[in-house]
Amino acid sequence: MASATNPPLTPNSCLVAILLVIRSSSGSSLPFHFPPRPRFEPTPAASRITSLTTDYDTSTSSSSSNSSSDEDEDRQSTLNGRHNGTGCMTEGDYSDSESRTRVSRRSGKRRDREVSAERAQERDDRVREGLMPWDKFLGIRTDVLAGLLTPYTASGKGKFEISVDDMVFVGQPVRLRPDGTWRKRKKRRKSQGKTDAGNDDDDEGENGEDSIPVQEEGPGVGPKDERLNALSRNGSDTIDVTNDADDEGEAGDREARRKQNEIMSMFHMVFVLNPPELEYHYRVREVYEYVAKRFSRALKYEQAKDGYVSREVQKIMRLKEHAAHQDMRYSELWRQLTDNSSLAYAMMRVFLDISQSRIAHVLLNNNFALSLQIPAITEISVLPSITDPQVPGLPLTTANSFGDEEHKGDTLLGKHFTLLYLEDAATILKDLAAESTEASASLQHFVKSCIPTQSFLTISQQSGIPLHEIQVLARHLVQWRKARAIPPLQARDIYIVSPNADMKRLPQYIEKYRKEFPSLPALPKILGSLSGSPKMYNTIIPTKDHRPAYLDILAWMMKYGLVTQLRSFAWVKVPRSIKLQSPIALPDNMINSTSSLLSNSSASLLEDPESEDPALLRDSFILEPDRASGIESAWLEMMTRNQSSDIKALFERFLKYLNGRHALEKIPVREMVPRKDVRKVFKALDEYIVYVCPFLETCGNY
Amino acid sequence: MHIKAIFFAIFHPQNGPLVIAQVPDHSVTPPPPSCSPDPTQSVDIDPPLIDFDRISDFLIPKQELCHRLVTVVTDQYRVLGYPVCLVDPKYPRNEFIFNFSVVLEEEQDFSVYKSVVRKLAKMFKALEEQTGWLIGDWVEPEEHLDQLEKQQERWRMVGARVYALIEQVLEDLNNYSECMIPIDESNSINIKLFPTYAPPPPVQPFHVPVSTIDLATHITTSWDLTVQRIVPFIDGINSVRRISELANCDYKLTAKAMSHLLYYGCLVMTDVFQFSAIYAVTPEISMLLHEKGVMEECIAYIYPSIIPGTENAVLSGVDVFTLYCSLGQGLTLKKWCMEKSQKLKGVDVRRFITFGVIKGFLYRVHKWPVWTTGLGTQETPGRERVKMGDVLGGGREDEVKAKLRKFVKTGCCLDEICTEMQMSGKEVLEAMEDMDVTILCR
Repeated sequence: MASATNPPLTPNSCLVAILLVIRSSSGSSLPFHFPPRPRFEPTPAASRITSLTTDYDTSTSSSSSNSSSDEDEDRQSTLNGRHNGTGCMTEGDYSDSESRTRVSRRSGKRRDREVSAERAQERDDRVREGLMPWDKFLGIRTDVLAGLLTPYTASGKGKFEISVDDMVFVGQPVRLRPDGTWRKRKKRRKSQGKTDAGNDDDDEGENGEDSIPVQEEGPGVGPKDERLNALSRNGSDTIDVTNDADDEGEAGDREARRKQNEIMSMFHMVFVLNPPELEYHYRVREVYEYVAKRFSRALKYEQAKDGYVSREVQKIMRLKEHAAHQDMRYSELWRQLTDNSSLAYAMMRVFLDISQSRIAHVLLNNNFALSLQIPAITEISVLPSITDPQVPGLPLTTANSFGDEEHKGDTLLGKHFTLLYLEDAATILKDLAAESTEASASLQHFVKSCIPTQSFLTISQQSGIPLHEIQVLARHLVQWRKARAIPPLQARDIYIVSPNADMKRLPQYIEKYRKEFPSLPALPKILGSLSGSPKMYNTIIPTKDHRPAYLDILAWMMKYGLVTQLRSFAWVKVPRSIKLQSPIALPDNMINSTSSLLSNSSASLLEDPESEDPALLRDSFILEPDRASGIESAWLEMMTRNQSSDIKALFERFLKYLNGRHALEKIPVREMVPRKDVRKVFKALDEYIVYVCPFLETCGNY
Repeated sequence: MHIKAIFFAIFHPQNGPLVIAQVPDHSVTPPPPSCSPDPTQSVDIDPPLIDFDRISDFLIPKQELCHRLVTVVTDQYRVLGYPVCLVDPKYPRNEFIFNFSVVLEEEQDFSVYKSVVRKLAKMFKALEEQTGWLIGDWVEPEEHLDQLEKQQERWRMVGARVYALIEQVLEDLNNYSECMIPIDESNSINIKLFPTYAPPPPVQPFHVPVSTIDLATHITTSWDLTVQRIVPFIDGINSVRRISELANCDYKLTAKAMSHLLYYGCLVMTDVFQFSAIYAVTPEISMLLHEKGVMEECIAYIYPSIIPGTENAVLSGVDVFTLYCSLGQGLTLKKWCMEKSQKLKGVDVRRFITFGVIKGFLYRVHKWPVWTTGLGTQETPGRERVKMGDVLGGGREDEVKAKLRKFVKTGCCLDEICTEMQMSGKEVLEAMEDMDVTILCR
């Protein structure tokens, strides 16, 4: 269906809650979830059909009053407490949330009076069953829910996914292995404490991410965490040593397993989502791949190392027990939990940041800095039509920076690209300076050397940083939303107002611009001068001295998606005259076979195949001139027969760009040919080339 | 879109969760080993799609999960079920839990089948409650052990009865996307699969609807009155606002009718066609060359009245392509038409442009009036007021300017302003002349 073909542009994690469920010898339980009271609204009527035919998902208005922020909860709980006149705020709170879910389950048929009756009923239930407010979650008893979410056997490749009505539960359960360990080890480590804790456990498909030192950690965001990370790396070894006693022998294994089993034999970080029907697969996959899986992997690592998760779970359980004795308020307990347990805090951070499409930086076990994000779409190559969902301000460009026919796969940025910082370079440097790792030092050096007007290749030559390293570092900055990869900004290229520029926010941009460039012409003036027929950017630069300032403006406008580079594309046209002159005389019996060959390969003849006149004798395009068939080569030969050998040779080199997929602007950069020579070639062969933008006219000053 | 299997599972008083009927055979549970003593026969049987025991907790769950739509992903398959729990002392253990489940491939869009599963569950719940169609009251709570065999025989009968039904449901839904299966004189299974479409985009007054089908031939008197009234004015030229005026319909109703037509794909939206407008190609233009049939479609569309046998007068694909490529930023359509008048003979320029816009390889370069100095709030004083005093009847003019100012401030494109103000683009631009406004083309 439509959902599969076009991923939605707008970021939306659809995250409702994060649950930590565990299983121990005494059964399954749900120690912690965030937010304390998830806001669950049934899927917005994604389709008319379902909303017409099903009466189950209709929401009740009462659920919309729910709020997940702490302040609101406090207010709400106080109100409820007063309302019920019970004096016990927890109770009021509890029954409120309870009845809410009940109501929504029973399709809103009950009215207020019944609700309050139900509320009283719930209270009685609670007294009878000894349930605490946190013993129900989204209307399901937590022990039932925890049981469901901790299956004994794995299904599929470790992925767990179920849905109940419109709630999706997805995660990757982590189980204690039969040998009493949490992770598979490649080989037994006899000499303890020699190797670094970070290196010995890199098995089980870590996607090679750990091999890049900076990959897991954000570039200098949350400097305090990073420092802690650096500091405690040494400390972790000692813990490791003590724990390694478990590996000593079989008896040790069994003993360890028994002990572990009592505390915890499985944990599962479950992400609860509420995706719209049409985006179901996309949203669930995003959260699973980028957040749930990585979070679980990190927790498994820490659990394997020194029982981090079970320790935190015990801490949470203790606090909850304590709270139950004290009749503590629900929200107060949650505050205590997130204050005291780093795992609970991490879950809160992940929830808050991921649900707002930010990057979540968490510190696990006081030493493992983990950054999680659902990658945001940072640029689009196709302008949405007027009825498509619009995301104004998203940069629009066809310059695809990844794997740009460099034959190096997706992971490296093209060497002819550069970075455009989305934040102040100074801010990035400051954040980086806060860390003192080796990786951050090289990043700093790179950030200082990288300017948006020079390609990575040039930067590498000037700064001495190897190109490969630059590409890795640049990718890192792009991945963590500090920069965007663009073709280097050049005054001789053409820039236009981006068709996707956010015009509603233009007044804000104008203000910002005025502060940034107070002495230069106002932003509307600059944009106005880029509004007419396309021309090179340097035509609006008044004097040579203004050049750097105007390039800064250009970078600034690019950063906010206000302008985009207008790139030219071209195709090779074969006019009839060339075909007639072509020395290859086609015997009659050859025509059919050749035309079928042409239509299979690359020539688009665009004619009626039934026509008497062989289609070969009408105008056509050579769609893939660098892979020209025999007859196409003959035509190409014919076109250049009167040209000098220089032009011939250059044209041959340029052919691979003339298929409508490559911007002509790439040619001088990639082929290392001066622009004026490029222009000479195109001028000489003008009649055979169709441009998508007035390339020659606008590049007159080459 | 294909159902892999349907099965009927119950909670068996002695054996726990149990699959009673499954289509195709052995798709969910393997055949009992005793059933096929002949090893040559069992070779043909494929292993079950899923491991029922592993997911039975979800399909035959505790009461809390009953009467909810539950889906489970297992072994690359997605199982959709809607467990039903009937509480009655006549059943063993006082309850009867059953579930009709559908097995689909994991990556498949399953939203259409949600209603199928819900419907089956609710229907058999009602049937069982009213007539005891599934197991009725034959399972006595005080069943003796010696009757076990008899009981199993009865389960087999239930299984066979259900099997016949779900087999037909599976066949019909997979082949015809609907089924109508009578169960008894008063009940039948009526299911039709409706694909889920995305909600229609919001309709704007300056959008121009272009119909994708001949609406007039489909229209009947039972159609919505507004739709009936507006359809004659949907010609690819009138904007939604204009249509509402021409049809003498309320704008809100018109817009709503448009969303309905959009939802079912009967319309696509473009923007107002004007010769003063600027169009430019997008990189999608290569679809004209690479996608089969698009060029033919284009040529057929841009010549409104093509006479067979006069193909020579028709542009070739290369010409059409070259023409599209010659459009661009900074070049109004009017100027372009004059430049290319020779080639454009017989071509409906509006259709030429609309085709490109609908296919997505042309985009309209909109004009946006913007305050040159940024926020236009400082713009009001002095000069304007004096002017108002000067000119008799300047009140109206001032009103227009105040409105225009508001539009500029909120960031509207010229089209939107023209539609709202009911002025031509030229008039708006003239009125803005003495305002400190820069026109951006985007």
